Amino acid sequence: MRKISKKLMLASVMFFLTLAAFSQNAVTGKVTDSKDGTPVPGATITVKGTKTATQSGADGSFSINATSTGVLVISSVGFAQQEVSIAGKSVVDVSLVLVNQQLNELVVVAYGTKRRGDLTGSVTSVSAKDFQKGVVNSSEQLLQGKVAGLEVTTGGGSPGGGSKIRIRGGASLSASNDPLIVIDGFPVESNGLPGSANLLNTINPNDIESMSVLKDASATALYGSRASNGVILITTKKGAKGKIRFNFSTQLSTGVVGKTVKVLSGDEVRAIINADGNATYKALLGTANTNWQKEIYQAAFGWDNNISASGAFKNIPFRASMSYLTQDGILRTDNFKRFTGSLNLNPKFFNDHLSVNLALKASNTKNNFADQGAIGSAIAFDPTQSVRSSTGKFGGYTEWLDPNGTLMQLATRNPVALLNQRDNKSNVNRFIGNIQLDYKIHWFPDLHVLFNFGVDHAKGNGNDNIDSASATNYLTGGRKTYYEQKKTSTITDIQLFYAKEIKPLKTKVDVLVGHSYQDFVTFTSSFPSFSYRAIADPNNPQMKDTLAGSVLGTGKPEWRLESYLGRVNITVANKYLITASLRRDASSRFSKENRVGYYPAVAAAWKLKEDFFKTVNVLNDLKLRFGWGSTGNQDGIDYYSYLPYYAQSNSAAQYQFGSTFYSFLRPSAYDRTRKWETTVTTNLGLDFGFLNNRISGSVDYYFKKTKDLLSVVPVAAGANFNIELLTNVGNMENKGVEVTINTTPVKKQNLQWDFGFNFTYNTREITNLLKQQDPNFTGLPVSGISGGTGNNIGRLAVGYSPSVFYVFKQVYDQTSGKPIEGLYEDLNRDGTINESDRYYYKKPASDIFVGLNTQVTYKKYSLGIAGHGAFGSYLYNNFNSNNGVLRQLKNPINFIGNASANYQETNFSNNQYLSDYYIENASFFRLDNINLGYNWGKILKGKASLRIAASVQNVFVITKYKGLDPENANESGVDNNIYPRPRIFSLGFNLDF
Amino acid sequence: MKHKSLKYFAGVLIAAIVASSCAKKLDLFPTNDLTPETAFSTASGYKAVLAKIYGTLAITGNSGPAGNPDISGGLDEGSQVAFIRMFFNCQELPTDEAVVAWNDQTIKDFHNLKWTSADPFLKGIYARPIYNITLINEYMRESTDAKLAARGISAADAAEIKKSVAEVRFLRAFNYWVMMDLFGKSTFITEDDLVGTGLPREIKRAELFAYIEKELKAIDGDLAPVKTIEYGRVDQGAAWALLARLYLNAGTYTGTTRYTDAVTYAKKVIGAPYSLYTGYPRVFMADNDKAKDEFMFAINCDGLRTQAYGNTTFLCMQPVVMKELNMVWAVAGMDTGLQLHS
Repeated sequence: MRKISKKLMLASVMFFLTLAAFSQNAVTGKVTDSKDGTPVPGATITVKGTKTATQSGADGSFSINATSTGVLVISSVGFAQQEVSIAGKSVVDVSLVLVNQQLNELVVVAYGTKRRGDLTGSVTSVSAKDFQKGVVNSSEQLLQGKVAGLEVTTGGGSPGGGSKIRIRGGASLSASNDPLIVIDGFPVESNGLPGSANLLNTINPNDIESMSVLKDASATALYGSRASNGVILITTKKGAKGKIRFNFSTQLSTGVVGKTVKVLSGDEVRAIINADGNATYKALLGTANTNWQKEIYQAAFGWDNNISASGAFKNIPFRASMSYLTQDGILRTDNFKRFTGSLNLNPKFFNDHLSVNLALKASNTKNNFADQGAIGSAIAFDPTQSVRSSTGKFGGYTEWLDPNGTLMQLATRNPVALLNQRDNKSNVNRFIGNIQLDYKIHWFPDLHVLFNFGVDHAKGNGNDNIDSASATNYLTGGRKTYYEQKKTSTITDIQLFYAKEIKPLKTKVDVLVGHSYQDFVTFTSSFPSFSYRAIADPNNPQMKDTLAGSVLGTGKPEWRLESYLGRVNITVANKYLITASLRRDASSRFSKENRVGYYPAVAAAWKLKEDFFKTVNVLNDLKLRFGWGSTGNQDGIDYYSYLPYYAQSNSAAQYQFGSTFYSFLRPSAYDRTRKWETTVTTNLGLDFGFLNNRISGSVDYYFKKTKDLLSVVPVAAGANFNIELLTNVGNMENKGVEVTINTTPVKKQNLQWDFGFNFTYNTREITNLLKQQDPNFTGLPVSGISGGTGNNIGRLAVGYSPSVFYVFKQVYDQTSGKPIEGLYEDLNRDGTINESDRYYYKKPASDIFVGLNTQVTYKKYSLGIAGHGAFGSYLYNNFNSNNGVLRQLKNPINFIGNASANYQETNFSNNQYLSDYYIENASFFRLDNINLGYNWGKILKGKASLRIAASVQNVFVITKYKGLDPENANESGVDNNIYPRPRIFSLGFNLDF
Repeated sequence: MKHKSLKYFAGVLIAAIVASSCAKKLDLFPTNDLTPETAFSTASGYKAVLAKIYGTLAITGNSGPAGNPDISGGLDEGSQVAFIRMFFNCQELPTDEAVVAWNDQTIKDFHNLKWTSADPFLKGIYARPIYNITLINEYMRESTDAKLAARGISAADAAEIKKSVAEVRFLRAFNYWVMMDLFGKSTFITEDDLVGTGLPREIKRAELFAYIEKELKAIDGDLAPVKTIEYGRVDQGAAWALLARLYLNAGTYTGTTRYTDAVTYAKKVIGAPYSLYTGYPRVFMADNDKAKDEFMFAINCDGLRTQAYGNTTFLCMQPVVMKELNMVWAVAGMDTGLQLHS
């Protein structure tokens, strides 16, 4: 891994050296848009009849060697190709005429590309210029708020942290709801790796050219059994023929804590405890006024650097890039570092009959994980105590002690000590490489063969060590842990493409058949944990200093997928478009009898514009789409559990016979008949464009029905080796409407204003959940909460959205309006208030979510604003329910804690976890980003051009929610105080040369 | 030249097609875990499963003290599916003999005598004995003469396994006695009911009584004589003691008292070679395997090797913060049992 990055660095350096002396002066010029004179970057300029070519820069300028009698051919996607004679001039300016750009733009779809105007499925493609701006550490966040039907929710503010990605709400219950991610034609493993907070953060967002979001089944069904939750196709930037151009960008940022959790101050705690009058607790009070949240947070510094070169080297188009990012977290000691290198080569051989596409990406990420337990400790630790104590114990940090001076083990730990006394570092290397050989057969050019071979290898390892003075592990005298895991996935694809135009019938046909084989293997290793003073086991003296229950072991879980796929596209008279596809998947995760699944899809589109509005100039596009398809899901389930197997117990789970301890062999619960979960989606869509496409957009209606849900459901005691089992039972329905509108209200010579808006309405309902119907079944308990043991706030229940809250109905005091502690409505009127009085109330998922983007460009200035929001979502305020009580201040085991400010509203003395009082409306709108750009233009005597951008991220949030942040990635809707999302100020410089 | 590289390229393509379509290795098995065939291929495999069957009364899963539970279903491993802890809770919390101050789900419904059928604690103690019985039934199915012979288990080992079958039948009777005592009616499965997703049948209290009685009597000849088998495993004495207890409460279970039978079996136990250990409290200490001559049937725990959150540590918790909140269970130097409740 490291070797590869070194090689890559070397290679890039060589490119820089060899190519710096390449350009010569001959013909220069500028490519502009005929409409408003704005520069056209990235246009290809070729000297007719030769292989000499170049590309225009960010300001539209180019320079090319040509004879004075030559002819230049200028082309750019969306513009009509133009030929200009040089005729002895040394400056040739070209103005290109726009042809319906939007509709001609190529969009990456499953196993190929399509013109946007010819799409039959529901696909949204976002290119680099429309990505989320500012500091973005992980690629999925580039799409936040940009695509109707796609909800990206970051897990919090930790640097490099993961996000919840949902396309049209997610189709599953117990299996995964994450979409399939395909990077340059290579479906990658989305599951995590120890040491990495999020595997998507290993991809450098600056290397990404575009991302396509495939939403309906007709667009995704070619990915078959992994497509039920949608597909995101990531395409990285490639080189094009022409002069080598370099780009360097650097971005500096600082993140600050926007909001902290409302807790009581030291004085308020003293007042409450003194008023309460209990001598034991009064004696425990300290004199300080510590703001513990202030103690654990910091301003977070970030620095992101990227350099790339692209162009052609000896006629081989290439792009090479390197990047280095360091990003602190606002939680002290938190840091994320990333080095990446990438190389794309796209040479062609045999008179362009063989195109090769080599894509290599290597990255190294280093995390310094802060102990996030400090976030919870900081809001629960007694503010009357100071950070450090005079006792000198536990590294000098204040901790709660028993009257006899020993550590009070169950008390809240000092948050600053948690941060400083734990050293949790990880190192993750990842290499993704694939080569695509596309061969257009010499004697039969209508047919081409694509061969794709790829490897994705990731290794995560790290040390998680706790200081011997730390109160968390003082009994064992600290702890030293090492962990490691490797994952390798390989893919081998063969695809045959056949394209034919049947002129007399005005029909174009293209056919794809393919075979794909993918293998995923994980190498797991567990290592013993060590301490300085572990209890020696008399039977195992060598185990001294090894913590109980931790042993060395290895494993190699593996799964494979073998698929056949086929697709036919038929276009008649450029008006009627039909697509039909079928994929057959066979997975090792199911028994032989149930291994194979077939996923068909059909879609049709009708360009109404061509038939009815051909002469209506106001209307540029009107297309009706219909799609139907079936997709599957198997991700997120155990690799082998269709098999009955016996698992060995660990060293702390043995049984004594005579004087020997025997380990256990335990049969696992299993279901041999388990098979794929299947989702059938119907989609109806309309694409439109008016007024030269200054108003364009689409509307989609979808209906998704999932059957044979892979769900963990109860089975009767005695039926199997557990009382719950992952089996195929249950149905779920998702339906919704998506609207996307992009407008350009102002378009003038020097001023342009773009405004985009997307809106999604989605509902999810479980329609069946049991094998044997049971009238008394209230649903499966889900959504565990903090506080007590085993308390659940949600249910998977028939007729409701997943994880609907299941609570008691709070009774309020009529005069004060305050909730009455422990008093709930006897909903079934049977005279007692017990479990049967709980009711379903609200749900965590949002009904509506929206994204807004706007950009104003005036001369060299640009101003962009982006925001997103969700409505109809509710959260369980677990912080208030667990900490908003007197018991939290006066802890029964004799220490003082801090309480949520909510205690002053309820005055509850003990926790009322299951009250609907704590279910709060979490609808919100967040202004994600305000960014200001200035295009400086030429600098360094015209050798380079500079752009400067400044941005503020996470500007404000509008919400009624009383907790820290209404946007929560937790599927269960339990809000336990996330890592606060920082407000980030950044300044970036971008240099083209 | 061009032709040559073309041919070469075509060759690579064909090789790749062949390679990719031949690799149909979709039958994959776990590397560390065993299939039933491999698990039961040796006598030590049988012993490991036997250890699990005994151990399910002491430990809640395959990792001590918690983390890999036998019974999931949204139940808490430490507090809801541990046999001793839940048996104690059911028997004692509805009385005035014990008070719990934790906020665990519906735990206080026991005090208030208002539990419902949805109670997770009751679900746990219902599932535990039945789970143990499914393991026992599987063990019996794998221990038939035909299977032992087919697997080439030696005659001596086979005889030992047959003896252990009598023991697991005792344990099945014991688990059914728990069901009968706590719930009356019970799910009823024997070695004839295979594993699947169907609904098992139900048995009434009196019928279950008859079944337990019949089983305990049937195994009497196969169980080892009192104190002749290794420590930790059951012998005839355990079966007699359970029969005596069964008959003592027969009036409640069936409506007909059986005091004479209770006396018969109690006398058999009293006449057996048990001896009392000196120092009564020591019987409850960590090294109480030294007191084994006093035990008829003990659920063995060990601070290092047999760890769980639901055994005697739970019972030893002492209310040390009495003066403030009356009777709070709290730490008395035994942190392990309480960690889950912080």
